[in-house]
Amino acid sequence: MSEYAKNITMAHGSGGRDSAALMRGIFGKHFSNRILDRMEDGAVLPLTVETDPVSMCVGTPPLAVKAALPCGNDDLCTRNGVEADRRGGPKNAQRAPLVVSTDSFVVTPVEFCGGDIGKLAVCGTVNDILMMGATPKYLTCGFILEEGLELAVLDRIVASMAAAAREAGVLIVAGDTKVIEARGTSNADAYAGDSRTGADDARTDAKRGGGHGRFDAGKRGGVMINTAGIGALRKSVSVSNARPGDAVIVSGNLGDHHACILSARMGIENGIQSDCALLSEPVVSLLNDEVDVHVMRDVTRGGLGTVLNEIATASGVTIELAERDIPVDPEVRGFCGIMGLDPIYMGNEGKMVAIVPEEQAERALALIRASEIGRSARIIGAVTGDADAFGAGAQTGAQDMSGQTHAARGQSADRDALFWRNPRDGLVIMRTRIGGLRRIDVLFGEGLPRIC
Amino acid sequence: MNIRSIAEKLEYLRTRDGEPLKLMEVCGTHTAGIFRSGIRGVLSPTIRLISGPGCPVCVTPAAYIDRCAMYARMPAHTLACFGDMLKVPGSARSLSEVRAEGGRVEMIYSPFEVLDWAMSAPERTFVIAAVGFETTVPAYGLLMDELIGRGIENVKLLTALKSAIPAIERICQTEESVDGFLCPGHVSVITGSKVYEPLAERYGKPFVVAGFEAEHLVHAIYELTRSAETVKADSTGGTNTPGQSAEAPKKRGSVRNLYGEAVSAEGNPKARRVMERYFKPGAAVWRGLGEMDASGLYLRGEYRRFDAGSRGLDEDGCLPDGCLCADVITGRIDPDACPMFGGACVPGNAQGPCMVSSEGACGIWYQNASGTFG
Repeated sequence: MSEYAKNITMAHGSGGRDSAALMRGIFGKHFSNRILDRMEDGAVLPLTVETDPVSMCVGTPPLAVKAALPCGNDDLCTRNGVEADRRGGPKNAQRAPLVVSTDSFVVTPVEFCGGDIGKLAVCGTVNDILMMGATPKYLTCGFILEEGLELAVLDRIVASMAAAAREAGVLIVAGDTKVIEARGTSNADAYAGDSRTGADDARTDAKRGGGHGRFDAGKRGGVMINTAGIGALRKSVSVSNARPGDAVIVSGNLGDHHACILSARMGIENGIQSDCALLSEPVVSLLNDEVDVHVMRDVTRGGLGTVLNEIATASGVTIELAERDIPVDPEVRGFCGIMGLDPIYMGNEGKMVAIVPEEQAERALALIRASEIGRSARIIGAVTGDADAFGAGAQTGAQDMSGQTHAARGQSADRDALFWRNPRDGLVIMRTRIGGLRRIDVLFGEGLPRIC
Repeated sequence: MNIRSIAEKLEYLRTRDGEPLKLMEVCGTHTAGIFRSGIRGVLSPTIRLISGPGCPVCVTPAAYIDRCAMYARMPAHTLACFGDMLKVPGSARSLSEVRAEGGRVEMIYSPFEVLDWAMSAPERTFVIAAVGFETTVPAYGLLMDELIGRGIENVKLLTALKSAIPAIERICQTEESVDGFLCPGHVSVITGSKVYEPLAERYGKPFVVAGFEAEHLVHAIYELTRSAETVKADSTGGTNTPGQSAEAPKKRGSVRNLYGEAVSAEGNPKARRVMERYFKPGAAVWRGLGEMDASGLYLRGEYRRFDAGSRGLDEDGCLPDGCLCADVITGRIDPDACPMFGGACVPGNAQGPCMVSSEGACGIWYQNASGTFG
């Protein structure tokens, strides 16, 4: 936890416990305000934006946006944006609260099986806006380009962003570009206090070219992208809206993106593809069909386990999952087995959790499954009780789920449970295939492959 | 009794009512599998599972981490290590902290990643923190093949490689109360299941080799339970039977391999040959178990130029007062019996290595909080 750390470590970026501690310990402390403190995927602002019914339809973007390098005040982009807004016409226009969200993308390699950092940067922010129950409308993007990046690579990434933006029906309306020195030199021999050594390394390596890894040109020339999105609120959903009795739906197989990226980094060839995708189709279906969605959350860094814990904590509830219903592609499952990884904690880039009232669960599932990216969606569990009723409640739940009695151990189990768990936190438990119970906590550390 | 299905075996384990049994899973990956399966909560209270010394990170002394940190800070040097090592506390700092302060620590997924770096930066020395059991040693042997074949001299190994078998034998000698061993699955792929036969015979304990999925674990714990019951019945029955010699009959140990798809009786002789080509056994210090003969694997004398000073890294003075890692590793206590567990010692602020490593018993216990349900 960052409470204990003196420096930023990679675990602070894992999306798990350390990231949360950093949020609380530094950003939350200094930035605290009533909007930010809700800690949602995005913020609903006390401003309104004109809604455009056309742009809510998936696959029919308001205008074909000409791909252009974002450049601050691109006239073309701005003009198109205005035209898009006028398209619905003043008669059809309604006003809705404005939703804003931002996200940064630093994936390596920048191009991978099933996507690239550009597509990711659009999908990630658009998905965050969708998860707020809003229609995404505009994006801004900031590029941090590393010295040595091939322009052809940048061109492909930006073309990919433009394609994703078209598909999402959003306009990229502002941008910024910065170039930094190659990272390989940044902390070289810091202890030796000789920065020139590092710079020399970089030049030597760049000349050699070829190969892959952190000490040659292959690793240099990175791209980092920040995107911010604006959307129009359709239906207020919140991470704190889960209620006992709700059903928990996940939109598809878990772990594909994480397994794909790890495979690429390790030079392992397999058929695993990133699931990098827009979540527009299932979300629009759910909202158009007026499903009373209580919570939507995209399942990204930190994985399902972390996301469900955030929901359980924010809503003050207990969530119970059934292991046999959690969808994982067999190839990804095999990969995880070899690497000692758990799909529950692996990152995804095109998956969401929807929490809906039990009586609407089958309808919601059918709607999600009807979408291209939701074919392997499953109902994976239920919200079973208030977190406050924890000690006794969880024990009762345990008996209900397994049909067995653990009374003999109930006493110490209560003590341990209360001891190990912050009483503020919600609880996520999973009934395993063999009828055991496992507590699913947030991700600790970086989610690394094991060494033995 | 001839029980076939997993459900029936599970039912037996759930309702078993007999003499209490203590079964040790030697390997951290098994501990993780046991927690993921939730099997502890299903077992009868008469069957107690305890964790063993099977996490290579957990048994690595602090002096080794300090040596790694030294290389990370040394000009023109880079330390390459697996992710598990990053957060292990050294006597002053973990490698993760050293890196955050500007030290050159690179996380690798495979030691072969270092080859390209070494070729493209010949003026820099790459020190690989080679930590692991038999499972990982052959890979370092193959790496040595490459280094020598390609004439790469700027890669060195700082080894904390260990052989799991002497550690299991040490537990057999010192922890009489362990009734059976769930053998390390990945180690057994290399060593073969036969390696446990002398131990089974000498100490009269059952050994089972098994995979890591829930069904594998049910099967393995069932077999261990049944075999341990037989051993106990033989020894108690023997002493009570009139007409037998005054000496208690020798307990019958056994070895069963339930992981036939990955483990053979002979193991992988090819991998062992690669190991033996470059490494030879020597004494090593294990945290919690002390020094054991022939339990470490070191580069042979003729390859000393590739060794970054792996011998003699025995000092292990970094465990803070009250940390009971050593007792956890030997199965004397469960992790939650340590007074620091969950309070002063949590995964983000680990005091001992067992809480740091993804294969460490304390970390696995904490994260999965099995105590909640059994």
